[in-house]
Amino acid sequence: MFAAASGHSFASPEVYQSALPLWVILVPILLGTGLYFLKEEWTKVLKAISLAASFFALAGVMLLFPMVISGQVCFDLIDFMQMGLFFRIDLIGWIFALIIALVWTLATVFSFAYMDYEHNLRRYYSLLTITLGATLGVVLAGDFFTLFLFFEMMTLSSFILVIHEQDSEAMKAGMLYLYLGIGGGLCLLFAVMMLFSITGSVDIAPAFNLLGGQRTIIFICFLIGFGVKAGLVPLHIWLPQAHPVAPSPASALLSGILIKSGAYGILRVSLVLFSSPDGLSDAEASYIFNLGNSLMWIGIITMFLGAVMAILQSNMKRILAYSSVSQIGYIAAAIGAATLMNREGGMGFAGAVYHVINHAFFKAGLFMMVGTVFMFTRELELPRLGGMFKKMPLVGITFLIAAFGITGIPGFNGYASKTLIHDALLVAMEHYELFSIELAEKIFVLTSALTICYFIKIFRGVFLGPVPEKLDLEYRLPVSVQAVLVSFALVITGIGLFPNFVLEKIIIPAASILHYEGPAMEHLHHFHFFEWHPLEAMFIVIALALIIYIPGAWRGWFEWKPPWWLSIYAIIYKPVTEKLVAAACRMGVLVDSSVDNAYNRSGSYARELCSYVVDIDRGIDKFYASSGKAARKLADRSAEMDSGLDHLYEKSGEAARKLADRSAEMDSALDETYRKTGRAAQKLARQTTDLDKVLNKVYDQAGQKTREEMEKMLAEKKNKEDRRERRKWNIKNLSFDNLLLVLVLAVVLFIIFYFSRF
Amino acid sequence: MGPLEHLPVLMVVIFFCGAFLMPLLFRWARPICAPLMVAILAAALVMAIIILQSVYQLGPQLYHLGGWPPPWGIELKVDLLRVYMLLVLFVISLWIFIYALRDLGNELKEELIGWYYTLYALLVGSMAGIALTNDLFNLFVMMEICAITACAIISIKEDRECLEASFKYLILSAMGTGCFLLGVAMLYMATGYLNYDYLHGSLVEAIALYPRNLLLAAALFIVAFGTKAALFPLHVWLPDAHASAPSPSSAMLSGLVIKIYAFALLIVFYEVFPAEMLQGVPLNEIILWLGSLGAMFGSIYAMLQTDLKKMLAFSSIGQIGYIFMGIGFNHEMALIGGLYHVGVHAVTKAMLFMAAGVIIYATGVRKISDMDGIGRNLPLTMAAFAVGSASMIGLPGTGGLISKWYLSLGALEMGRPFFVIIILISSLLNAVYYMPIVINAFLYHGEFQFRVKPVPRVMLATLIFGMIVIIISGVFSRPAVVLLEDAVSRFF
Repeated sequence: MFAAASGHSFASPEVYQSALPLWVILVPILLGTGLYFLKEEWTKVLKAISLAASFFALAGVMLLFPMVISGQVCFDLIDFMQMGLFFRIDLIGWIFALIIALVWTLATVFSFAYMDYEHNLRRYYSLLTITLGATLGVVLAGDFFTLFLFFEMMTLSSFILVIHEQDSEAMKAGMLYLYLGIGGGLCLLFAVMMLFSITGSVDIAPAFNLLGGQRTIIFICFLIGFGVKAGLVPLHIWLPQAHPVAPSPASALLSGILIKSGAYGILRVSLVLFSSPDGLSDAEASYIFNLGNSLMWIGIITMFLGAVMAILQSNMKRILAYSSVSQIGYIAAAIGAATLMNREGGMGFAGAVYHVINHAFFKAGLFMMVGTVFMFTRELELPRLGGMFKKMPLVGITFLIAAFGITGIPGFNGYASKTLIHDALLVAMEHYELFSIELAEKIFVLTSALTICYFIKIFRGVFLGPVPEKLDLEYRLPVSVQAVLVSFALVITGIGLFPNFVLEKIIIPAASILHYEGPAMEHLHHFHFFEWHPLEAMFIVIALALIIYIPGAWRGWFEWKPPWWLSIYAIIYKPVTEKLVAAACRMGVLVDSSVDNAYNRSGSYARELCSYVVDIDRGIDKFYASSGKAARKLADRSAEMDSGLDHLYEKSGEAARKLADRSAEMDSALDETYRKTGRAAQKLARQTTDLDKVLNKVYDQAGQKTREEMEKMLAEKKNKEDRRERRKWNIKNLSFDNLLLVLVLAVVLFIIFYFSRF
Repeated sequence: MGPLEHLPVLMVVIFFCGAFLMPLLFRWARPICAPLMVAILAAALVMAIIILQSVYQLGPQLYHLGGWPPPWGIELKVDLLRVYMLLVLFVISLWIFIYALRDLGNELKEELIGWYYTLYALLVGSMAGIALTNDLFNLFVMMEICAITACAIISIKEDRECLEASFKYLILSAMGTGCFLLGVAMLYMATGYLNYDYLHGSLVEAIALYPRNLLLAAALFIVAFGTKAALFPLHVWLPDAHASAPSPSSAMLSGLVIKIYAFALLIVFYEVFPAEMLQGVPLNEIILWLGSLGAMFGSIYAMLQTDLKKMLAFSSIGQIGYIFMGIGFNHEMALIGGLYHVGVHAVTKAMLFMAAGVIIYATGVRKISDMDGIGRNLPLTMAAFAVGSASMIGLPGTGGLISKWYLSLGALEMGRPFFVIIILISSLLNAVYYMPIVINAFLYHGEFQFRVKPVPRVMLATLIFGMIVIIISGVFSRPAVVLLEDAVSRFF
C-alpha cells in the first residue's frame, strides 16, 4: 500500500531498514504502562524508570543520526491496525525527535524535585513516559495514518497530565483540551481518509498534482487538525487554560514540545504534501501562493493576538502560555512564507525549523524557571510576587537568559531564528512586492517589540521589587533543578553565540531534502548573523519595545482587563457551540415530538378501536353478571330443596322412632325373643339417623360449593372490571398504535418507490 | 464428508434440543444444566470453526434438510459471510452466557433460571437459523422464534417495567413479522419460489411483470427488518426493552439480536433481490439516510439520558445506524465496514452492558450522575467501560476505528463525503456522552458515595476477555477484514 514512496522528492537514495525507530517509541510506551502498575510509594523506582526511558529515547534518536544524515530510516510494520504502521525518519523528523528527547529528559529530571510537592506520582510518571513515546511517534511516522494514531494517543495521554490537579479549574481546562483534541483528531482523520481515497496512499510525500479539486478541503482539515494542537488562533483557546493548570514540568513539555507536533504536521502538509516534484503551472503556483499567504496570515494574526493577550495577563504561567501561542504564530508564519515562495522558500523553512528548536529550549526552560518559583512560593500571580532575584539568583539569571533568547537579543538563540523568519518575510516581500506581505512584516516587528514588553513585565513582577513579607524565606534549590536550569541557559547562549553551527550542520541539510533552490538558499549558506543589517532590525525592535513599554507601564495599560465579550471564546466558540447544541437539541426534540405525535395520533385511532373492544367486554361482563344472578337463584333453589329434603328425612326418622317405640311396646307385651328384633330395629333406626346426618352434611357441602363458585364468579367479574379500568388507563402503553404507524410507513415508502420507478 | 455433512443443521438443532432438555434437567439434575449449556455453545462454536475451514477448502455449501431438494425443501447454506456471522454469534453468546451464570442469580428468581437457559438456547438457535437459512419461509419461522424468545428474556425479570417494555417489543416485532410475511407472500405470488437462489433467478423476469408487487415487498422488508433492528425511526421499542431487561439479556439483545436482523436485511437485499431491482428505486438511498439519521439522533438522544443502561440502549440505535449505512452505500469497502462493525459493536456493546451489569450488581447504581468516582472502587470494570467507550468513539487501537475507517472510505469512493462528516460528527457526539462517564469515574476528586459489594472473578474475567477482543479487533484486524473481503466480493 505504501510502496509508492516517491523517491524522487527526497534527495538521498539511501534507505536504511532499521527497527530502531519502533524501539524508540515502544520502550517508553511499554515502560510507562508498566509504571502504572507499580506502587505509589516507590518514588525512587518511578523516577529511575522514567528517566531511563527518556535516556533510552535520547540515545536511540542519537543513534539514528548517522543514518539520517546520509539518507532516511524506514521501518514497516505491515497489518498493524489495518493500515500498517510505517516509520520513515529523515532529517526534518529527526530534528524534532532530538529536541523532544532532549527536552523531555531535562523535564523528567526537573520533575524529580518539583513533583515531590505533588500527589499521585505514579500516574504522573507513567503518563509522562507514555506521552514521550507517543510524541516521538508523531514525528517519526512515515505516513499520515501512523501520524494520526500517535497524535490521538498523545492527546489522550497528555490530557491526564493536564488534569493532574483534578480540581474544578483543571477539569474544565482538561475537558476543553480533550474535546478540541478529539474534534481536531477527527478533522485529521477526515483529511487522511480523503487523501487515501483520492491518491490511494497516505504517504507523507508530494501529492499536490494528484489531489485535484478537493485539495482545499483536505488542506483545511489538516490545518484544523494540527492547528488545534499547535494553538493557532482561533483554535488556541484550550492552550492558555490548560498549560497553566498542569504541573510545571508538564506545562513546559506541553508548551515547549507538544504544540510543536502540531507545527510539525503543518510543516509536513504544507511543505511536503502540498508540493510537487515537477514544475507547477501558473494556476497551481498561484494556488500554492494563496495557500502560503493565508497560512502566513494565520501565523501573523496568531503571533500578534498571542502577544497582546500575553501582555494583559497577570498570572505568570498564563503569560507564558499566551507567549507560546504567539511564538507558534512565528513558526506558522515562517512555514507560510516558505510555502508561498514554493521552491525558493528555503529561508522560511530554515526559520521555522530553527525557531522550533529554539522555542523548545527557551519556553520549556522558562516554564521550569517559573515552576521553580512556584514550587517554593506556591504563587503564580505577579502582583503577589517580587524580589525573587535576591532569593533565587540562579533562577533569576537563567530566566533572564531565556527571556533574552525568546525576545531575540543578539547573542542568544532566539535572535538567530527570528532573524531568519524576518529575512524570509523580507525575501517574500521583495519577490512579490505585495502590500499584504509588507504589512505582515510590520506586524512581525511590532509583535517582537510586544514580546520584549511582556518579558519586561514578567521579569519585573517576579524578580525585581520588594519581597512580599509572606515569601521572605530562605530558599534552597535542589541540585537537580539547578543543573536543569543551567543546562537550558547554556544551550540558549551556546546556540546564540554560534548560530551558524546549527544552521549548517542540521538545518541546511534538512532544507536540501526538500530541494530548495534559488538566491535565498545561496544566502542561507553564507548567512552572517552578526552583520549590521540583521542587527539593525533587532535594534529597531528594542527601541520600539521601549517606546511601548515605558508609557504603557507608566499609564498602566498592561493592567487592562479585556471585557469578557471580547474574548475569542465569547466571539466564536460560545455562539457556535450554543447555536449548534441548541439546533441539535431542537431538531432532536422536533423529531422526537413528531415521531411521538405520529404514534399518539395512531394511538387515538387505536383507542377508538379499543373502545369497541371495551363495549364487547362490557357485554361479556353483563352476561357474566346475569349468569351470576341465575346461579344465585339456582343456589337458593337448591338450598330450599335441601331443607325440604331435610324435612323429609327428619320425618322419616321420626316415623322410624315411632316404629321403634311401637316395637318396644310390642316387646314388653311379647316375648324376649322379640326383644332382639326390637334391638335390631333400634340399630337400624340409629343407622338411618346416621345416614340422615351424613346426607345432611353432603347437601350442606353442596350448598357451600355452589356459594363458593358464585363468589368466585363475582370476584372474577370484579377482576375483569378492574382490568378494564387499568386498560383504560394504559391504553397508550399497549402500543397498538405502533401497528398503524408501521403500516403507514410501509405505505409511504411504497408510494415513494412507486413514483420514483415510473 | 460423513457426519461432518450435517454440521449446518446440527448447529441449529443442538440448541433446540438443549432448550427442551433444560427445564427437565433443571428439575432433576440442576448442577449439570449450566455446564451442558456451555458445552452446547462451545460445540456450536467448534462446528462453526470446522465449517469455516471446509468453506475455505471447498467453497460455499448447501444442505438440504431431510434430503428434500430445494424448491420445496428447506435449504441451509454456508458461505464465508454466514460463517462470519455464526462465529460472531457463537463467540459472543458463549461469552455472555458465562457472564450470565453469575449475574442471573442476582436478577432472577431461582426457579426461573432453568427457563432462562431454555430461552437462551432457543434465542441463539433461532439466530443461527436466521443466519444459515436459504429459504424465506424458514427465515420467517426463525424470526418468530427469535422475536418471542427475545421478548421472553426481557419479561422474565417480572417487574412492571420489563413487562411493559417486552409487551411493547412484542407488539412491534409482531408488526415487523407481519410486514415480512406479507412481503414473502408477494414474492411468492410473483415467482412461486421461496428459496433464495430460485427467487433470485426468477425475480429478474418477474420484476418486469409485477414491478409494484415486488417493490411493495421490498418496502415491507425494509419496514420489517428496520423495526426489528431498531432502524430509526422504528426504534421506539428499543430503549425501554434493552434498558429494563436483565443485564445478560440486554447484552444479548443489543449485541446480537438487532444485528441479526440487519444481517438478514443484507442477505435479502444482496442475495435475493437482483441488481436491477435496486437500481430503479432508491432503496439503498433510503436505508442510507435512515441509517445516518439514526447515527445522529441515537447519539443526540443518548446525550440526554440519565440512566446508564438507557444511554447504552440509545447508543445502540446510533451504532446500528452505521451498520445500515454500510449496507446502504452499496460499495464493497462500506459493506466491509458495516459487517466489521457488526462484530465490533456486538463485542463492545455487550461488554458495556456487562460492565453496567457489574456496576449494578456491585453497587446498585444506575444513574450516571451517581457514578462519579466509581473508578477507584471498581477499577477493572471501569477500565473495561473506558475501552468500550473508546471503541464506540472510534479511537485508534480499538475496532471502532477500523469499521469507521472502512465505512468512510466506502463513502468517499462513492463520492459522498457528506456521510463521512456525519460519521465523524456522530463520533464526536459519542465522545461527548461516553467520555465524561469515564473521566468522572476515574478523576472525580471526591469519594464514591455508595457501598460496593465484591465482584465475582468470573464476571471480571469476562470483562477482561472483552477488552482483549476489542483491542485485538483494533490492532490485528487484517484476518477478519480479509475474510470479509472474500465474503462480500461476490456481490460487487
